Amino acid sequence: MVDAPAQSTLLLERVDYSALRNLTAEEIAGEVRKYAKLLMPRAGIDYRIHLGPAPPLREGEELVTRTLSLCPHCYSLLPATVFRREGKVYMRKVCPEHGEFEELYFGDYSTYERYKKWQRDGKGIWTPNVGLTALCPYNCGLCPRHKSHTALLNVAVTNRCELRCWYCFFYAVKAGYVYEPSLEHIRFMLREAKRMLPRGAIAVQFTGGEPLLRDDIVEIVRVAREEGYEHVQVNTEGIRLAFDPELAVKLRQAGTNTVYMSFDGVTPHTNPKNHWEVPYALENLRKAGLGVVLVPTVIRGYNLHEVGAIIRFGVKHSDIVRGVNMQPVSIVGRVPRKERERLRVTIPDILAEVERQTGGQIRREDWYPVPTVVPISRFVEALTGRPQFELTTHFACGAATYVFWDSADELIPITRFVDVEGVMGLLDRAAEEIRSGRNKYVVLLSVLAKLRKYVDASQAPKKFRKKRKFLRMIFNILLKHDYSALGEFHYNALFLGMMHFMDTYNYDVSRVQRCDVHYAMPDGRVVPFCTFNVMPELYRDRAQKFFSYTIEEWERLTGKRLSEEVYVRNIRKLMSGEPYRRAYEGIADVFSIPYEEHVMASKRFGIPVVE
Amino acid sequence: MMVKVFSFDLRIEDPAPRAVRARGAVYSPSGGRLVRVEGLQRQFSPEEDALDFDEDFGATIGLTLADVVHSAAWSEALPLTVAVHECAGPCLKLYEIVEGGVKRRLLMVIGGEDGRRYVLSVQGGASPSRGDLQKLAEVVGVDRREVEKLLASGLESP
Repeated sequence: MVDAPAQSTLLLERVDYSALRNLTAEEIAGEVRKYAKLLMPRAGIDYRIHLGPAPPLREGEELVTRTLSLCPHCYSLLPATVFRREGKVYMRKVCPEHGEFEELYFGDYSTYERYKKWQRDGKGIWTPNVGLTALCPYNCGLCPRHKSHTALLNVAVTNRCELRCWYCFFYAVKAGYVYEPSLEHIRFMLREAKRMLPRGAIAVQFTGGEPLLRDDIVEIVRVAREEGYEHVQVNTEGIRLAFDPELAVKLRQAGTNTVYMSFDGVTPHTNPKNHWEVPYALENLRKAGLGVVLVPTVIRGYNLHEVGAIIRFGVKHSDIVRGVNMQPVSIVGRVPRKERERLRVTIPDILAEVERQTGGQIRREDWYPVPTVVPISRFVEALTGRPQFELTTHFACGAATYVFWDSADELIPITRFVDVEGVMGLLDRAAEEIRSGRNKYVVLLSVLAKLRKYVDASQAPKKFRKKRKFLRMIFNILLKHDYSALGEFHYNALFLGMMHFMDTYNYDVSRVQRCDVHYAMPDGRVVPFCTFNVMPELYRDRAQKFFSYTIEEWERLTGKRLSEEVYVRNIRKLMSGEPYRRAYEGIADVFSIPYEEHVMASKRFGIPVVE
Repeated sequence: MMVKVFSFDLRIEDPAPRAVRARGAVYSPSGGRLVRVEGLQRQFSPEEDALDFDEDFGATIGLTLADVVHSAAWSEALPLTVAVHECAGPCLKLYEIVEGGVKRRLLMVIGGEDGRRYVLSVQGGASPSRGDLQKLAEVVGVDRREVEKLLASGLESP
């Protein structure tokens, strides 16, 4: 159907996607896999290797470790020194062509050391999609050296977007092509990630562009369910959900578990992207019974001062908000050092602000790095004898906690009534006992009996005190060890998470080798988030452009006009609605901000306003 | 065909602690027997050797160049040596690896007619299946018992 180029992809920028769009998933597989090798990054063209000595330490600096990183200008692989200075962790590297780069890596050394203790590595990838042909991170697919299985698979279903955010160069109009894989092509990508061993993907996020712009998004969710995905979430700015109550219902009915919605702050200044629409989106999600995770991108000097208010907003809407997952800014493009210092924020910096802004209710010690929960997986694995889903990402990539409450004024982190370290230690020891041959049922009973010791019911929220409800929830997770057992836990708590995606300035190859948030590529590869998005020319853009329509082709096929897909905001109308007033009441005095400032905030961000 | 074998004692503290010792040798068939091939030893060069290192240890014991770079001993020269061997046909690499008190042997057969690479990992005192040993023996062109003998005597084999 489609001819593979004879020599090199350099001669072929894209296939004729119109010829692929009506093929079945099996036919797609036969057509697209052959391009994976050709679309790989090319040594000497896309990147170089400069593996001399790592930069030396300077006065007042102490070595933390050494690693491999990238040149932010040319993507060359460079040795980097990670060091401690004045209580913080920094990275330094020198590109022979572009000079020295120094960057804040982690805002607090003591938190770095505390988190490091929790690092657990995964079992690797037993069925890699690509062979070893280049050094990491130029060999993604996943390759045989990758250490973690897919915890969350991202599938970009379009690069169209109705917003024109000033910083974005990714959406179709600017890119100059439309990437929109067919339903069967998406099925193929889902299958490729699902068949991987030791654990195939079971959770998928549909993303974009704006995935809700696809007329068949409900069908896409259904396909994911058909292909055996247990968790389906849709990543959106929420505009469509605000205006289409039926869409939320249909998404829920098709099998969507969660909506992952951008939410950068509680005022128009900090969240010009969707401040006015979020209340309506929440209202519609509430009616549909479809849970949402709020996702703020946190930037110093921009919205770091609102992280406490964002959490309070989540608690206020906890009937439908399942979590708040903050993402410290990933600095894209070439940005001067002074400017980076002005914007850069890392996980410990946000933890400190959360503590300050919640009046000490959520302290920095209440958060744990992502791999902390690995002992649960290892224990269940020892019980069942089957490889389990485990979160073995690098400790510096993310942190999380759970908060509960009796009243919205009093947040109770899980660490107030559960000895997390005690529980994980207990499970670690129990898994080891089973592995060394002790009867697993005897060990399980012993674990259940000992668990009580690590839960102080008197400090738990009132609703969990009766009949040891909290302990029963934990028992269920360990006994049933399936996804549904986590449901009851999540419905009674607010998940607070942080995921720091890297950029070229703080890039650490050790982190990307452990990455468990992956992207499905249209050629069948599966690529870590931080190669897909950090080197877009080598992965995301190259592959998406290759399997894209020209804008003219797409408009001819759909009868739509891409340039007309622009959202124009009616602020006056949105502010006059009851959902808007209710949503921010008690969180931020949004009505004290003059209307003109609302309009200005939206326009400055790039979203036009009906005046 | 150039065949590289790596030897190292690595201690890594970050991001996760590991202490790994590896020694290896190359054997090629001669008169129906597996005979040790001597190679030229030199220092590890990241540009030249990293991909081969990742090939041997990335999928088998989860150790890659990125981990080596993290090793406490790394400053200007990586604590690795490479022995480079010249093999005319298929050959077998044997690694003995010790980590956390557990010994593991890796058998790798390369240079077979199908161009594939066969890897067998044997942990502790476990016995690999006859079928697996037979496959390795066939590719390298010796009797299965030769591979068993090598596995039993390890790097002491002449």
